[in-house]
Amino acid sequence: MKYAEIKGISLISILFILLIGCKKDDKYFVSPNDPTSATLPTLLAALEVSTINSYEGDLARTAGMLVQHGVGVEGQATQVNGYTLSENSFDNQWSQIYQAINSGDQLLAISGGDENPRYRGITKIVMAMNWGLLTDLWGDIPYTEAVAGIKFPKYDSQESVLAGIQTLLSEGITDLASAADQNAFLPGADDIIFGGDVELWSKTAWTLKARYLNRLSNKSDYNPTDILDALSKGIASQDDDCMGKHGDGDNDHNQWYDFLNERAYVTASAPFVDSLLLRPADTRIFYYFDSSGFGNTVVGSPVAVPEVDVSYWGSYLAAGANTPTPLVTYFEALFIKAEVLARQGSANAADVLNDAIKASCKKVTAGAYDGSSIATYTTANTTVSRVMYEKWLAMFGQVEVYTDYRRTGYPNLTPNPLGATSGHIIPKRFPTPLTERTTNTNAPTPAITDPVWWAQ
Amino acid sequence: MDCCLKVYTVLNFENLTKILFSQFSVSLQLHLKQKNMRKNLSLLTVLLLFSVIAWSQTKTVTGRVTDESGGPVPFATITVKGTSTGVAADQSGNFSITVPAKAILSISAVGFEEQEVAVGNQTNITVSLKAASALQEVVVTALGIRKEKKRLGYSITEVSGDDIEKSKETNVIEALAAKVPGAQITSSGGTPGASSKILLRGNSTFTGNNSPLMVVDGIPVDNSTSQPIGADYPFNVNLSGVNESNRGIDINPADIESISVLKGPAAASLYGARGGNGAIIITTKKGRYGTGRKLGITASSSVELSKVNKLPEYQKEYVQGNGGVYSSGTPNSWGPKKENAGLPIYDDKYGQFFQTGTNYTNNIAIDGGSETSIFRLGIGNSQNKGIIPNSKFNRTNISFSGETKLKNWLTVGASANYVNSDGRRVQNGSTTGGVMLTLLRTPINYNVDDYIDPLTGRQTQYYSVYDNPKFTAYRNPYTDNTNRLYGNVYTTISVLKDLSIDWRVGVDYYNTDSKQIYDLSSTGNDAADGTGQLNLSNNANRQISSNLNVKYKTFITKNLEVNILGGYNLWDNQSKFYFQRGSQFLVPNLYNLGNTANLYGSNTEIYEQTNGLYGEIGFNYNAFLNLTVAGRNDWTTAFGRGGTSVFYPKVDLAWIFSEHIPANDILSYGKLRMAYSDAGTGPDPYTYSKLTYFIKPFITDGATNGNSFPYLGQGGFAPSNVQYPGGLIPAHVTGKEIGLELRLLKNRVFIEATYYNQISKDNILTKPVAPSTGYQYEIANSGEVENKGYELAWGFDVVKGKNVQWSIGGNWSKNMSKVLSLADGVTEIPVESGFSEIGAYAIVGQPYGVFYGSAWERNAEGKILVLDDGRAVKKEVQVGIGNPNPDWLMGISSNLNFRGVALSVLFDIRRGGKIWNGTWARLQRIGVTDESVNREQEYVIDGVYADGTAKPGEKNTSPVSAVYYFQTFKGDGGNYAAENAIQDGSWFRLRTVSLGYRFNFTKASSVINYLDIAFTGRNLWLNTKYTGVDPETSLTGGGSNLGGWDYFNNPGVKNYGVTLKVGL
Repeated sequence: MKYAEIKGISLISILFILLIGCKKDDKYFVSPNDPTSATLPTLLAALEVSTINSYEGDLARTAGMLVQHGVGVEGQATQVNGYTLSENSFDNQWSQIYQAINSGDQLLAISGGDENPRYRGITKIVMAMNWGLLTDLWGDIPYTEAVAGIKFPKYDSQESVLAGIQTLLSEGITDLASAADQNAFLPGADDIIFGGDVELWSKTAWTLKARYLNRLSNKSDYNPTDILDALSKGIASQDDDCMGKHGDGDNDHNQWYDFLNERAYVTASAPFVDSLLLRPADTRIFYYFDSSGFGNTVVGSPVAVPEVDVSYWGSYLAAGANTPTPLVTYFEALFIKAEVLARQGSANAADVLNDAIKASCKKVTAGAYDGSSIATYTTANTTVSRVMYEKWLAMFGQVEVYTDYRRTGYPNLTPNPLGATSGHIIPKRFPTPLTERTTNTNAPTPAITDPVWWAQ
Repeated sequence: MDCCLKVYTVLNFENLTKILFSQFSVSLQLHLKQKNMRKNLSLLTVLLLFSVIAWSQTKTVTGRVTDESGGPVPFATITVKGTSTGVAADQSGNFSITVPAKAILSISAVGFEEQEVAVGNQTNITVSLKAASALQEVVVTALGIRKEKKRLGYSITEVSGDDIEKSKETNVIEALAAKVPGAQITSSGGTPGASSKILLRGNSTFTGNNSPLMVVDGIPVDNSTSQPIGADYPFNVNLSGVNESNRGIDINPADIESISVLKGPAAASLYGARGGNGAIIITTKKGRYGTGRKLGITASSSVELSKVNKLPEYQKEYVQGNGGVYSSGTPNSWGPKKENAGLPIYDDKYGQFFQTGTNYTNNIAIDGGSETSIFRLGIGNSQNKGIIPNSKFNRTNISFSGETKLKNWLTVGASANYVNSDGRRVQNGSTTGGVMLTLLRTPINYNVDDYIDPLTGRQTQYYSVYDNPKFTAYRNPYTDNTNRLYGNVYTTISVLKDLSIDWRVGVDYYNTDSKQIYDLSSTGNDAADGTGQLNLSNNANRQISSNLNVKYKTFITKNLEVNILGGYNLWDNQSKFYFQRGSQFLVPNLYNLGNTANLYGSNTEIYEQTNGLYGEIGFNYNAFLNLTVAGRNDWTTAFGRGGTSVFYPKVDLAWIFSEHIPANDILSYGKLRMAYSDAGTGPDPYTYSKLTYFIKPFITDGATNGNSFPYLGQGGFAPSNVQYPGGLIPAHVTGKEIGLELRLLKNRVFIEATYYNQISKDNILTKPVAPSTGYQYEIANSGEVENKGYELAWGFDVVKGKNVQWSIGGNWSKNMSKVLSLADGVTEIPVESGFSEIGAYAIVGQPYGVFYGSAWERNAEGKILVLDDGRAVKKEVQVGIGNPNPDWLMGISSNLNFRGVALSVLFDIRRGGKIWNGTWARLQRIGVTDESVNREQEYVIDGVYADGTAKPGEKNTSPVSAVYYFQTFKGDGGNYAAENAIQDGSWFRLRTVSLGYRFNFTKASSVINYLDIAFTGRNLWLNTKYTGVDPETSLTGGGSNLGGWDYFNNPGVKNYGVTLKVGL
């Protein structure tokens, strides 16, 4: 080889070494697409939206079908209607709730011990709502070892989870009482539900305390005084209602509305419709369901052999994409109070029940009907069973009704005679989700006909 | 270099070449200005050096080169002994050469013994060559290194460009179907531009990428299949959307010289971290060196028509409704008999909907070569219209390659390819805007032609939830356009006689933009409310690679040859994806983001780089024993900063035992080979480091599109549901294989058999974790999957006469996959998310990707258990319900040539492999299937009474209603079992049949060398028990690990075509 040729080869080699030597950016090692940390407002918004979604999505639909608010006529909904609760049907919601709790934990982790008590307070209350939904539907759940870096979290008793919920709510209430200037950052519009109004959060927390204390109605720890005390500090008018807010933007939709538009697999149920129609003055039915197409009446599908040419959801829950949905309401608080008083045999029970019915009518009909013509209970006919029946008529679309039914046995529903459970009984809990069963060695698989602890 | 050269243009083609090469004219002038052109033949000049001839001619001799039986030997080299004058024969073995008086011709060709012929007074010579005594076949191996096949210790299958071209497939992957033992190819062949998926020896990763690496001329190219979707889409997009292309479709089959399929990690181990799934090595056509070669021009043109080959049969007796009563508010066809309905009947919906597809393909290639320089230019265009109205796929390719020997020690070359792929596709699968979803469900009382209401401009539908099929075909188009540039430059330097260096740098860049319209009134939009939607996306992807090889060859003793290879590889990949969506069109007929009420955008960027050092030493002892030891060490950014580097070893041994046996007529050649190796799989970027990512969450229960952010103007981030614990080691595949290669009866029969056992280890698993941990998945190193199997290839030259040649051949392969383990405590994981009632799982002890879903309860004999009322009992938990992997695959080919008439036939047989026919189950439920016409009767399920009934264990005699029977026991309604939809996907098909004739024009004066005419049919015959569309179908496409899913997939086609090819 000649000198020139050697030179040429050397040049090529240098070019080549240049190619190897380039230093590589972070973008080669850490994904440039997602952040590795988040902020208080983004985490709080994520937590609240997830919670709103959980309270009005598949869990509420399923619970609603089991208490015969609705009838499943298509797809998976027909199976729920026939009391086949597939273990894989609940993976999404179960995971979603635990992920929300993870968001909450991350928020508590970055909020500083005492720098942002208001963020911490709201977070604890919303986390309590998530724990409540889980334990109501599944009974014993992973709690103390959940979202704690433990691979197979153990299951805790429902009793201890309920105690934990009370602690979270109490801590939350204390945190919210902090003065604004004790907070480095204050929640605002990122608090989707109340826009940073800590007083309303505090009231919601008290009503929630009452709700979960009232779960113990069959248990020795049942303490009506504590419940009435909590209610007295809780939601005091419709204006205080804790509502899931929605909007018209693609991401903001009310899930009842989306389900109606995208699937429409659940229709009005005949037992529910027929019960409401017993009192023609009660116009709530025209808000619960869409009466157009049926000559201004509402038609429900039979439970056993579903029909599709019937009425579907109406304006109360699904007027539009932006329709807000009830999470914790004034009328719920009144129904809890009525139940406690009825159990005590208090003379005030009838008045409170009538107030509850009126509050419901006012809320559902947006003030068009005040409910006084049907709120005619007297001490003589005010029983726990009537309270629960009225609550069943009032709390349309809320998981609470399914919880109440399992706890009290009211209203006295006629189960689907073709139901797949033994004895055709209405399932008393949701099955352990498939992924939890297959990935957590501690996961139990109770039959869906086994009642949860507070219903035993 | 002392030959006398001159630039020479064949007169007849002057105008043509002027047009074709006008873009190069600038560089031509540049170089013509140089003083001494003879010495300074640079690469760019080569681009223009159309042809060269030797001068001082005295006599022209024409001739033909044949094998011993008289068959043509293509591309033999004919040189005049003692001079550098030479030509190459054409494809038919014909040549023409000018020689001095008393010349002696030397004729040589790969696989034949060289022969010398004295010209004497002859002007027309036929030369018959003897097959070489030992096999001289040279194949392309990993990194594009050519090796004698007899020295390889592992299995490799080479498919010739001719066979690729003959298949008439637009998609090069599909063209390999039934030709490569060990390869499973699945396409959605009826849809223009649809992806075709290739798996070599099964799936080696659970949830990662199982596609083999694709390499063109030594440079890795992208063959991914991706569905452009916004970062806010929460479901598995593969289950719906359109049939996207695998990007390998951009390669023009007419440009391919050969494809080497490196099936296992042994063959592909030099690709290190990315060799575990095997590799597909494509070599493109080049010009050929030789003196006296004319400019070669080939042009071909083909026309093909296609028809739907198979559709589900439907009943034509009952109209829309339920319970025997007509209703327009139901998707079902459980209404009254048509006679009693009083409705107009349209019982040929398939005829009304499907059209005849067309495919026009045109290719022209020009190549030339001198003793020192070669070039080739290819231009191709194909225009394919589908059987579904408005669907199309068009592709234009321009490829150029050139190489020149600048010095006797220095060669440089380059190739460049430009591709434009342009598709218009329709919705497919699980979407209410899907063509098949709505067409197949349509009742007989609905006229699909009636798809627009002339008053409102909105669609008319038989059921308000589903789009009209014609409406969705015409008004919800998905258009995509890809511009791609790939190529490389390289140089080879011979430093010493036996020491050479070659360096190749290549790039593959493409940009795909796509546009999906959901027109006003379509329910296919995300909100399913008919308000319209527009999705725009852009995907830009580029990878560069640089390969430096140093090769040295020496003899340690006279009998021991040693070949040493050392090298360095750099591979750098980046992709950028932008997605924009506008929803709610404000005014009709304008599909622009500015015309929408809501906007959303997202983007993704990915960067990765691998640096690898590798080496290989091959020992060849006495030409019968060959041992190769190789290794590669990779540093990959995906492993994290400062992450581990990985070493991938390989050793293989080939023993030509026939060398020890005296020459005989029975065994001409026998080789035993074995290999052990380790190669990596799917080092997905950003997965190995310990990090917590926060994501914009998609919050949905699976029934709706759910909620996301911004929400009421607020941003939201939640911890990702995937945990990255760090500390991972890269996944890899360890493979062992042993094989036997035999040639019998004077090379007339060949048999090649391989047994392999590959275990993929330390898989990077997106493993489900208990959701109560706050996460749903964890990236983990866990699990092993084994793939073992047999591959057999054979061929037999039945007749080798002068006028008749007939050869048959075939291949057979069986892959048995088994999940050996998953993570601790995990016995089953989904390989990809499916539907709630059916999934594809990896379950320990079972084959990869089995269907997992609900099933009926059965007794020990497998009889279905029923209740007192005769209804079947459903299992409480989901179980494995079918294996989608075929038991075996077979291809059988026959090539008959009778006096120039060529008849080739290729059969494709697949045995076993279940398909989830979700389409059929749904149609049963809806009351549309042909068998559901028998509904005026009751049915007794073939089963026995369950425990707890009145007569446990006794044969069921309780009838159930036809509605229960079809909807729930055969369909997917009510409390059904997913197993109802599992069907056998076996097939026996005539994949290709082609009849052709070649007109040879042997006279030296004739302008045309040859003219081929060929009639080709594809898929003309199909035998299968499958009740749906053609069982070669894929819901999820090439980018998915799901196999055997059919949920309203687009149908397959049969094709009839004619091709004209002319060689000048």
